[in-house]
Amino acid sequence: MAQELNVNGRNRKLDGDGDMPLLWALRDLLHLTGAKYGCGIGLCGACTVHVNGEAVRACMMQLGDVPPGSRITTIEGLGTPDKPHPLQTAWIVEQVPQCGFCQTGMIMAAAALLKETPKPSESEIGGAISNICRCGTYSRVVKAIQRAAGQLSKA
Amino acid sequence: MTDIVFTRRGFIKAGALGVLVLGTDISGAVAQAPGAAVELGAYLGIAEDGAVTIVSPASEMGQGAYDALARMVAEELECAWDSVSVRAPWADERFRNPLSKIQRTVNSETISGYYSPLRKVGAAAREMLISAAAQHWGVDPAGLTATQGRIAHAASGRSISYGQLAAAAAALPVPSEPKLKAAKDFKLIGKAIPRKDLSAKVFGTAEFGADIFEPGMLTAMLSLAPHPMCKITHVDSAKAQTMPGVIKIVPVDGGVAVIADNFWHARKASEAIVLEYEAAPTAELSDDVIADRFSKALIEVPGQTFPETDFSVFPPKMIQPDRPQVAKALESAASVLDMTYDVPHLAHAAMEPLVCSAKLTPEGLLVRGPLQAPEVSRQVAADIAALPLDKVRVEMTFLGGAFGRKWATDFVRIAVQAAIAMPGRMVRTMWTREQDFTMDQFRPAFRARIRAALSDTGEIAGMHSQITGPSIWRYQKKKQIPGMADPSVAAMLIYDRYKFPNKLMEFHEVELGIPAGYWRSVTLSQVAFFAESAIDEIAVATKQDAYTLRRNLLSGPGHGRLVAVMDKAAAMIGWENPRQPNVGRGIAIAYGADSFCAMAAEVEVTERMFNIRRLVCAFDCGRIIDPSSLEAQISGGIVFGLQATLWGEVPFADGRPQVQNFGEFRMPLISDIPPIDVHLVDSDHPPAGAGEASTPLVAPAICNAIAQANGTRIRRLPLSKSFDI
Ligand code: FES
Ligand code: FES
Repeated sequence: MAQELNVNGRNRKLDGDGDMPLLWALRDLLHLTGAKYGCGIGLCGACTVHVNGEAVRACMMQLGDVPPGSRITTIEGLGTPDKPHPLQTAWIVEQVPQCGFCQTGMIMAAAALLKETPKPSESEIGGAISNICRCGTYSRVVKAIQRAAGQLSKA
Repeated sequence: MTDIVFTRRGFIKAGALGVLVLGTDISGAVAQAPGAAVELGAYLGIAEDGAVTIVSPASEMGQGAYDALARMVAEELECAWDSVSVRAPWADERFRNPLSKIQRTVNSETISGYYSPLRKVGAAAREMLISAAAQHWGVDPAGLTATQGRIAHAASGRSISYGQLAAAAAALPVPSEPKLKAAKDFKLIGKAIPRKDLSAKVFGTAEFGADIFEPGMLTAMLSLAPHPMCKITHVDSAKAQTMPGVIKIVPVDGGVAVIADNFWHARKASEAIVLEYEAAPTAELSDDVIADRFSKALIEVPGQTFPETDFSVFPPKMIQPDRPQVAKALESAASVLDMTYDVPHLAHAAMEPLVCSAKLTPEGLLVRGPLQAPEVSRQVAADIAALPLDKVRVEMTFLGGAFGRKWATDFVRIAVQAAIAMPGRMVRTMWTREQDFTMDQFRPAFRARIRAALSDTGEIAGMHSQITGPSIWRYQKKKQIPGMADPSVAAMLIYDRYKFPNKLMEFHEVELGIPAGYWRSVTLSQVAFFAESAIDEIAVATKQDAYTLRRNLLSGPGHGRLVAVMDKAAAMIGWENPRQPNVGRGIAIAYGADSFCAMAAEVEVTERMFNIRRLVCAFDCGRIIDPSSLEAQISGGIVFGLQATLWGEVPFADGRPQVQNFGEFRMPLISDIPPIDVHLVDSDHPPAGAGEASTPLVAPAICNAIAQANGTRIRRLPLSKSFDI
């Protein structure tokens, strides 16, 4: 089955089984490896991407269930070193990543939050983002989100 | 900037002129007597345009090794930090850690082991560049200075770049004792500079174990018996064979690997395999059975003693326990405080499940993956592929967390077994999250019984500390030290720095057969809870302040750094301040891998609920390489310890771990994190590793605080057994 999707601004044909999770379609068919496999059952958020602007745990969405023509944004499409998303800039300033494995999913979850809530409080961040980071970068994640949202003074 | 290409042996590609590549067997060569042969390897390359490439000998698993090690070289080299790029290591004898004499990233030994030799590599290159400039201009090297990638001759106002000198410098002898900079002149070491690996990690381009790709690559997923020692009696793969994308099904350790064109096909087919196997050696085990065996072992299994270290003299001296004296102290005590503590099995649960890739070609075997033990992995791979060592190349990707689990090589073995069945193709062998949990090499469950002999004036007249549980060394097939209990279990069962007489520490070993491995902070992960709870209980029983008692027990020489961090943590938590009702404060200390750590907690307890109001930590690991990266290690270690304190537990039933995924092994999320304050003590002591000592102190600091808040003494982890959290 070939599914046509718009991935990071490009129309792509994904030739995978209908029950193949979107995560594996992106990773194994398009070699977009920024979204990670952490749990496979929707618990950790390492696989977070945007589908039509909303944060989705890509391990839980089957390719066949993605509406044809959907816009998919992965971390690779969120920003680049030349044109970073404000979160990516803030993430480096606050030196958030440790091992880095959860970070792309964390950033994608944060990007979706900022679209809904441009200036989230700490508790709104905690309420909205339930991604797991085993390295324990949480307090810097909160700081980086608030920095990107313009809530921290420049440093 | 020029990308320096290293060949498989680590040398620069022939014909790439104008490149200085300097590297040595850093475990000794640079420090060897003058005239000793120095092998040029690959730590450092300087290209014609001044691009500097530094290979990190240690794996990057989040702890900041790449940056920290590269900075040691660059600091002495005096190049511009912007011109430096850091390369992932491969297995190579020349990358051995001088401390452990093996290339591995474990034990908090990276910073301490490589600090001096890597600075020498940078300094030697700087001196060679200066000599080359002196020859080039025909001037005295004493009149030359090196900064920011250029050599300047003040007298004539001339300057020349490293890149222009690199080829000439490469031909010069390597100085055996290059002069190192004074710490006061450091420009990189000690400064908070964003790590170079962060960019790839926020743009999604960092290559982790599962991210490697090459055309024709295949994915293997596993069907495994429930225990690595299970003997497989029958494999029914008829259905799996016919499933889409499946290419081959091959036997591997403990099961079969299904090799397919992608993850999803391999996974579905691996789930269609039916394995039959003999009962696991653990088949009868449950938590109740384990608890029973622990109770019996404390009485029936002879204890192996663990010596005490006397730090008041230098070098510290080992003291063997005097059993009759300890027995006498307990018999003649005014009172004996008898305390029993329990901790459960724990999983590593790195965010990146186990994964490793390999490819067999006529040239040899290539292994790529997130490895803590490249050197052993190379040997293991060579044995399986029946190849000489020099035909096996092992390369590290980024590690998506490890915490000790990726020190093991079970997943490397299986990856090589799968790959040699498909010559010419890269085979990426991935474990599911469920396999990563159930086939973990767990931090074992332990029980401790501690009996303190107390005098009528509240002095500690002796202490008998017993621990029971499995030996990690036995499972890891590491040779035991004759006459001494397994230090990965029993070391520091009561901190030897606490000064009181008649200590006896014993290990009563129980063989459970459950895979056991090293888990962040290893022995401290259990004994810090036992030792620091017991001291606290003694303080309560003898009506002393818990902080003052510790301070008194640490009087005398040799404990200055430990006392200093403890004083700091007490001040940070406001130890002396009045407390509201139901609020308690607790303190705990530890030292390990030459780092000193103190933690204090403030909690509020109401019935079966409690709230952690604050966690503070003071940490002294000697010279700081990067304060921001260091703070991340310590606060990350605290979150790791918080998980173990609140929810961490892998129960066993019918011989099997009852954790499949994060649903059963609850992790803290953003909303669960209390305010955490970390204070770093900078000093001139040699730098030490910092990834471990904060983790084990969370439990005793919080439990001691709970005891102060409402008198409830927690003797069993995790806290979810005692509270609604
Ligand atoms: S991998 Fe999708 S939520 Fe964990
Ligand atoms: S940075 Fe390692 S899991 Fe989050």
